[in-house]
Amino acid sequence: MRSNLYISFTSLMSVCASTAFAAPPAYIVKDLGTLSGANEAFEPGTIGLAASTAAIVGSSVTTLPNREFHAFRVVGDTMQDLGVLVGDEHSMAFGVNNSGDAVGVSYALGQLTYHGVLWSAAGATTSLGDVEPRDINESGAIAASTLVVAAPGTTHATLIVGRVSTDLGTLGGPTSMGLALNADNWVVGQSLLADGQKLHAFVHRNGSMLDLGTLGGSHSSALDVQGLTVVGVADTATGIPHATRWTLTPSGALASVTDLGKLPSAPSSAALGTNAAGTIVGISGDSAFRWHGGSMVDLNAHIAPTSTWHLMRATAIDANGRIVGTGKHAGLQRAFLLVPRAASDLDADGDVDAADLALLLGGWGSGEFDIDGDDTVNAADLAIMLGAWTG
Amino acid sequence: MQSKLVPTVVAGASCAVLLGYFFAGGAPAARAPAPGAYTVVGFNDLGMHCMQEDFSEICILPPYNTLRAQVIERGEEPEILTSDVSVIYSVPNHMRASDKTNFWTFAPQLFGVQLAPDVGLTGNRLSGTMAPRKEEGIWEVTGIPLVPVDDAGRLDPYPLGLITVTGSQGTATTRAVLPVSSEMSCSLCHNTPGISVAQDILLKHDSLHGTHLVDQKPVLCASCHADPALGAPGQPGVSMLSHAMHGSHAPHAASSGLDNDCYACHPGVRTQCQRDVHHGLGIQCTDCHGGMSAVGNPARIPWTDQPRCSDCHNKPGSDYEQPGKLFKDSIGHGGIYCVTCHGAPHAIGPATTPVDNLQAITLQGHAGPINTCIVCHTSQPKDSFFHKVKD
Repeated sequence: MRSNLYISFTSLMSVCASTAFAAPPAYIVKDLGTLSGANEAFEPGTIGLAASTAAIVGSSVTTLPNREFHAFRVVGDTMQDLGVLVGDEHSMAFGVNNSGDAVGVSYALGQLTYHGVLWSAAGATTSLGDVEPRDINESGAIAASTLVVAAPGTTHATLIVGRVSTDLGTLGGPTSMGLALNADNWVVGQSLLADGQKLHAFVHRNGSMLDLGTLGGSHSSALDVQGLTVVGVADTATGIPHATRWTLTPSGALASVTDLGKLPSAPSSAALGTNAAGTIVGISGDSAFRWHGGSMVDLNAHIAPTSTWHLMRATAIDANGRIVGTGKHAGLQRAFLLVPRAASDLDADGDVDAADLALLLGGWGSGEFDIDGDDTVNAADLAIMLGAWTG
Repeated sequence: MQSKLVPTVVAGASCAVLLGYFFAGGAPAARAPAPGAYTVVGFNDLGMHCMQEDFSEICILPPYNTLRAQVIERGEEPEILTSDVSVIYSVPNHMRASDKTNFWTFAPQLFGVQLAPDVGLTGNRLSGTMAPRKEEGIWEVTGIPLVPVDDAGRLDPYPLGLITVTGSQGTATTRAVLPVSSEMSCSLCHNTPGISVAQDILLKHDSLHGTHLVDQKPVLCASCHADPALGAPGQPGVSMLSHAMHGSHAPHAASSGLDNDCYACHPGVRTQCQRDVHHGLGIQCTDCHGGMSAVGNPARIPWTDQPRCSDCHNKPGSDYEQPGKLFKDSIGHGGIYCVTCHGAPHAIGPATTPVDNLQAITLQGHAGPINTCIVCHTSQPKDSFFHKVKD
C-alpha cells in the first residue's frame, strides 16, 4: 500500500509540475438547460429570473408548435415544466421563496389580460386572477401588479396576503408595478408620476407609498428589496441609468441613496437583485456584475478564464450567494447559475477530486492554493480538502 | 389561440362602410362613445417592428418603434388639430429598456452615435412629447427604443402605448399597440453547434461573398446593404438588404418546416405579427406580398412596392390608397388617415388579437373600422359617407 501511495503521490506531483494555474475563480458556472426547445438567435432560450435556497425559477422555450415559453422550477438538477393555465399559451415564473413556492404569469400573447399563478412547492397550481405577480416572501405574501380594468395597459401595484389583495395606488400617474417585497410586506416597485412621463421608484409601507427619488435625473425603479435595503436603477443628473441602493430606516423613512456606479466602458448599469448579506447583482452594459462592500466587479472575471460563457445579466442572488442570470454559452443564449466555488475545488470544476489534490500538492509549502488562509499549503489544507472530497 | 370572427352587417349609421365584423372574442359590450371635446386615435406605422436583444455580433434591426396619432376637435364639422394642444405618450409597464438589451453598449460601433441609455436613435425615450407634422395632419414620435419584455420580465410583443391630449377644451386619451418582437428564428437554419447564430451567419456570408465580417463584429447589415427602414443608403453595387435577404433565402424557405415560411425570419410562429382581419379570414402573407422570390426581385423597391388595398378591393364608387402612396400613408375623409379608422398594417380591424381591437372598442363600442360618426362628429351627419379620398 505504501508503495502504491508513493507512486500515486509522485504522479500527482508530476502533474502539478506541469500545471500552470492562476488564482482559482470565485464561481462555478452551470447551464440551466432548457425545456428542450431550440435556441433562438436573438432572444434567450432560457431566462433565469429568481433564485432561493430551495429552487431557481424562470422560463424556457419549449418544443410546442409555436415555441411557447413555459415557466420552470429547478430543484437540484431537475428542471420542472410548470405548465400554463387552461386556455393560455405561455407562462413565466418571476419569484420564488425559500420554501420553493413560485409565482408568475400564465397568458396568451395579444390578449388584454394575463393571469397570476402560484405554483406551490407541493405541486399545486393556483390562479391569482388578473395580476402579474413578481415576488413572494417567506410568509407567502406576494408583490404584484393588477390590471386596471378601466384603463387597459396600466396596472396598480398590489400586495396579496392570503386571499386579500390591496391596491397600493400610484405616485400620481396612471400606472404602477409592485416588483418585490420584504419579510414585513413592504412592497417596492415603480410608478409613473402625475406628469405621465417620469417613472420613479417607490416603497409602500405603513399604508403609504414613498417616492424614493432618483440620482438627480428623471427616472428610477426599485427592483428588489431585502430587509431595509432596496436596489434598482436611477438616472443620474446627466440622464445615465446607474445601479442604485436605497436604505430605509426601521420606520420606513429614506435613510440613504447610493450610486453603485457602473463597470468601466459600460454605458449604464442596473441593480436587479440583492440578498441579506448586502451583495447586489445586476447588469452593466453587456456584462453581469456583482457589487459588495463598495466595489462593483464584472462577474465574467470571476469564472474560469477558459469558460465559453459570457455572463450578460445577473438577475438574482440567494442567501447562499448563488447567482442566476442570462448569458451566452458557446453561442447559445441560456440561463446560468453561478455557484460559489468551494475552497477546496481548486480547479473550479464543481468537484473536489484528484485534480484538485494535484494542484494542492503542487503548491505544497508555498502560498499558492492555500485553503485555510495561513499563506502556506500544508497538512491543514490537505485535511480540509479530504474533508470536502467529492471524488 | 385565435378568436372567431362573426360577420355581421353594420346598419343604421349613414357612415357605415361596407361590411363590418363584430369581434366575438373578449369584446366588451357595445357602448356609446364617451363625450369629449377631443378624439385622439393612435397607430403604429408598420404593424410590427423587429429588434434583437443581443447586438454584440450583428445588428439587423435596432429597437426603433414609431407612434403616430391624429387629434380631432369634435364638432358638427370636426377639425384635425396639429397645434394648440399638447400630446404626450408613454408605454406604461415598458418604461425601461437599457437593462433588457445590450443595444446601448454597441450603438457607438454600429451607428456611430453615443446614445444615452434608454434614448433611441432619434433622441426619443419611452415617454415624452409627440411632435406635430402639420402638413400631414398627424402627431408623431419616432425611434422609441421599445423592447418586447415588460418591466416585470414578461414577454410582451404587443405593448399598449398611452397617448394623452390636453388642450383648452379638456383632455382625451387613447391606447394604441406598439408591436415589437425579437422572434427572428435564424437558428432554424443557422445552427452550427458550438458557435453563435450570428457567427454562423457571418461565416456563411464571408464564405459566399469573400467578405471578412467575422473579424469586424459587431456588424450592421445596413452599413453595406441599403435599408430604407433605417434610412441607410448602403454601399454602391451592393444589393438592398431586402433583396439580399429574400433573394438569397428563397431557395431555402421550404426547408423551414413551418406552415408559414415567412415566419422563419419574420416574427413569427409565436408572435403572429400578421394578425389583422385578413388573417382572420384565412388570407396568408404571400397572398398579398407574393412569394420570397417576388419580394426579393431586384426590380422591386423595398418598403415602397407594397401590396395595395385596391389590388383586391374594388367596390364601384369607393377610393382606396391615394395614387403613389401606401395604405399607411394615405388619407381620405377630410384628411383622416386610412389607418386612423382601419388600424395599422397587419393589425387592420377587427384583428385576431384583442389588444389591437381595444382602441376601436373604446371609441365606438365595437371592433373593426371606426365607422361610428359620433366618434368625431358631435351629431350624426345628414350627408351619407362615401369611401372617397376627397369626401
